[in-house]
Amino acid sequence: MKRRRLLWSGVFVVVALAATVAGLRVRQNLIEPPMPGGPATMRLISADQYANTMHTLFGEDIDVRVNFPSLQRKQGLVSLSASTAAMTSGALEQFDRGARAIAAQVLDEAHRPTLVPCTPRAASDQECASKFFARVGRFLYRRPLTAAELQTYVAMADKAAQSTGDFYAGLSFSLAGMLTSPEFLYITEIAEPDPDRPGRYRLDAFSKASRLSLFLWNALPDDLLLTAAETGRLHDRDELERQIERMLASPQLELGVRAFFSDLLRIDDFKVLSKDPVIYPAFTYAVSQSVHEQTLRMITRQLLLERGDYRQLFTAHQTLINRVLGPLYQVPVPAEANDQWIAHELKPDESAGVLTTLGFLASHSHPGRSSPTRRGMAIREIFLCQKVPDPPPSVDFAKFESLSGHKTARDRLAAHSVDPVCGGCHKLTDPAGLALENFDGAGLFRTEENKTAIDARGAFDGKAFTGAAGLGKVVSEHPALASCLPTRLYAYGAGRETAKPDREWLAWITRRFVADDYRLPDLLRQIAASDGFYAVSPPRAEVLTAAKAEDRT
Amino acid sequence: MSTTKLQSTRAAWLLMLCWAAGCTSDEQTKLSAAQAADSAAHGAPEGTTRGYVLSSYLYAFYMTKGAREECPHGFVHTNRESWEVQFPTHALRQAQLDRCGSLTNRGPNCENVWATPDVIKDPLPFRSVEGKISFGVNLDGTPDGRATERTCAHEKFVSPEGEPGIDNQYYRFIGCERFVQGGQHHADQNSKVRVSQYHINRVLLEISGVDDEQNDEHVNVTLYRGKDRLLVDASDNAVPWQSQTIDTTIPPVDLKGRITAGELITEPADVIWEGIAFERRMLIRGMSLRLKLNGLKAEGMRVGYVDVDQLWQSYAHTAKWGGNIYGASAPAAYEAMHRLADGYKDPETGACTGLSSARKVEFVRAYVIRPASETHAEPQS
Repeated sequence: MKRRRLLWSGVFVVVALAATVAGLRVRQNLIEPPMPGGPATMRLISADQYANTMHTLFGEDIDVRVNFPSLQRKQGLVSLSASTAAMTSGALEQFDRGARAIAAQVLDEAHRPTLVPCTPRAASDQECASKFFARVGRFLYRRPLTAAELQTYVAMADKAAQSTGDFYAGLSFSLAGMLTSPEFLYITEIAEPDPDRPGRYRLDAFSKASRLSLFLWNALPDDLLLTAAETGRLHDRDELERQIERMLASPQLELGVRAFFSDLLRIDDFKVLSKDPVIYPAFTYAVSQSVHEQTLRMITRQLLLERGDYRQLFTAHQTLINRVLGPLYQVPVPAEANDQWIAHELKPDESAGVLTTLGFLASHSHPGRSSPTRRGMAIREIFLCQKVPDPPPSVDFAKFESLSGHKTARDRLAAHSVDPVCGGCHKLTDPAGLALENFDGAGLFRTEENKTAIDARGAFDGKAFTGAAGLGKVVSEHPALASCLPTRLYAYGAGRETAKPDREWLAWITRRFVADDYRLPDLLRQIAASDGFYAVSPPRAEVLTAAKAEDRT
Repeated sequence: MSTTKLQSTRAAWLLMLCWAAGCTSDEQTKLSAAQAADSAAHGAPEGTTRGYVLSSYLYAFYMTKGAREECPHGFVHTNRESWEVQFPTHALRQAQLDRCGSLTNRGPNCENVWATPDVIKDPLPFRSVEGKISFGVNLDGTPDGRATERTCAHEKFVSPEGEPGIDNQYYRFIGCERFVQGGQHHADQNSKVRVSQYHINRVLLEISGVDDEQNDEHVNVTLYRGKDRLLVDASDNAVPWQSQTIDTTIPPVDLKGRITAGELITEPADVIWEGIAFERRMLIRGMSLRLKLNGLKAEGMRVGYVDVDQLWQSYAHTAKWGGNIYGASAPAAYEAMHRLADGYKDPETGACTGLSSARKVEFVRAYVIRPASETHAEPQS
């Protein structure tokens, strides 16, 4: 009896020790906690992904003109709406038109010698058509075509070729059909039972390849990745890590990083920026077309080329300029073409990295004046993942506009915020935005507004600062900054909104990010190599069945 | 320019070369520091360099509504009008057309009058400007336009501000042309300077060795041909502080000048002014820039004598496209151009070979960029 008790005590101690060590390892970021994952997604391909695919598959000279429907932003990212994007008849018509134009180019006399792997013997040559569609279909559908699919496309092409008497016209007809197929336009993920974890599900190899490729490259899987999926080796951890390292070392990584930050920073808004030409004559169309590039180049240079600390993105004093932006900074630009960029050192007290880029400042402003509220809101929502409530429907903006006696934005907002309905939210947004008031609505530095000196002091979540540089430092040290980027990256890669059950995993990936000194490539590697990134919840039918069974009991 | 100025200018030149060669920020900072130290060591104020790009280039023509003041008798007689007088009957005109094929082939042997303008004397006079007011400056130094050793007798204008003694025989010659008075030529020409795609029209200006922007007895001025497009804002105005690269295949023009009460005046020099818009490459004798340096702009006039022979080539090239309805008659125009020439008297013939002229020019501040590795053409002067 005594021996048995001793034995049980020993077992208890061992189990307790093991549990403690495991807990410590989790806390020390060594063990990945479970991620429940969301349902497998079916995402509408994005405009960039579509174009990247066409250019990778058919060549850079293919003119891609397809209008994509605009999507709603969810959790700060437009890409999260791709999994709920419907296809209207109008949108399908646009895709069809674009597909026909692309197919015609692919099979024109200039391209067919390199893109069609065989020479047809006659207008009807099913063998040659089969070779073409087998190759093209594998990339477009991110998996080998089934025999039935291949037969369908070959038969369609053959029928069209016979009626037109032109083999290539037949291919073009069928290729256009392939480009408007849901199998291509929607990146459909397939879940399968996870053999290593009974009762759990995982993405199948092709879905895994697509998720990985879209995450790191913003493009569909290449030949090596598809081959790894076809052989099933992608489920092997070593092979997965090899593929990730290959992809991280590829120049295409920059495309992926640009795509993510374009979405996060709402770069599409930069491209359509329009300023009052009377107030901001220097903010020309050419400038609006350059500011997004400035921001993205700055980010990729800092985070990828220099493997810099993500926090320094808010404290850097260097930016990049081209010929178009040179006049705004009043510096000579030796490069002779607009697509050449040079580094430009800004005054330390007049810069705060990405927060003081022209695009960020100008896009979060009004057409004719700056907006501390919009800028402050953008900082909280984009970089700190905090939600600022929308203004109440009854707010009287005319009242704010009529505050003509107030010379500076600070004065106007102070008067406006007296209204308790407005004051609550303005306390969240304005302090950060007012720190950027040394930059006008076009993002140009100024020291006064309406001949009144600008006061750019403030406090942000309890930390006092002065000016843009002070704000940048406070944001770089903000506790929410470290968790926001991994959270957004995961959501972007998995194509779904994060939820409460994901918190433990997100906290773990954040700790890894911090432990890796806030390096983006390491964070991308961690996410891409994690089990959580590919975790999917059981198919909906199974969940419903389980729920019904539970109800019955 | 003092030795100190030369040294600091050299440092500035190196700095610009560094920019052009794509130096890193650190290297540029070091060079800037060296430049500052160089100036400080010599204990004198550093002569600064100011760059500009041409943003507007207009005829300095004084024009009234309907040209009532400057052309009270109407616009120039056209080729067709002269032809009708030269061949006064229907039969004669038909015979001329049958024989020579064109209204412009009016010479005794069907010579084209644009190609050989002195082959006949036009029956109708050339209508030149008769008004009293014109833009420009006193180029010959006389109060009344009397003949001197180097100039021919001519009538003077008064400036719109009332300053007497103004010379602008180029305006007197061309001011009653329909295409000038219509304004379209004026607008077209300027739009070609501003419109960004016409980078062939870029003229860059650099004023170096400036100690005092209001008064400086000695400054150096260089004109370059640029090869970049002009950045314009939403209102089609040139954006200040744009970077403009020198086209080193075209020789620069070095000038001496002074700044008096904020106005840059360059010493007269014979300068080849590269073609702009409709104008061909042209020699401007005794060219001088008179530019008010006003913040981001330098605006004023380019004055000097337009070489008659070169002007005729340019004029004939442009004016003949006016056709028989709008264009002038070549023999009368050719005769008038030579008759109105007022400067650069040929000592042998006693005829003047230059027309006094003025152009309104406007430059905006810009960074004049030297390309890194290109062969530089030798300066003109």
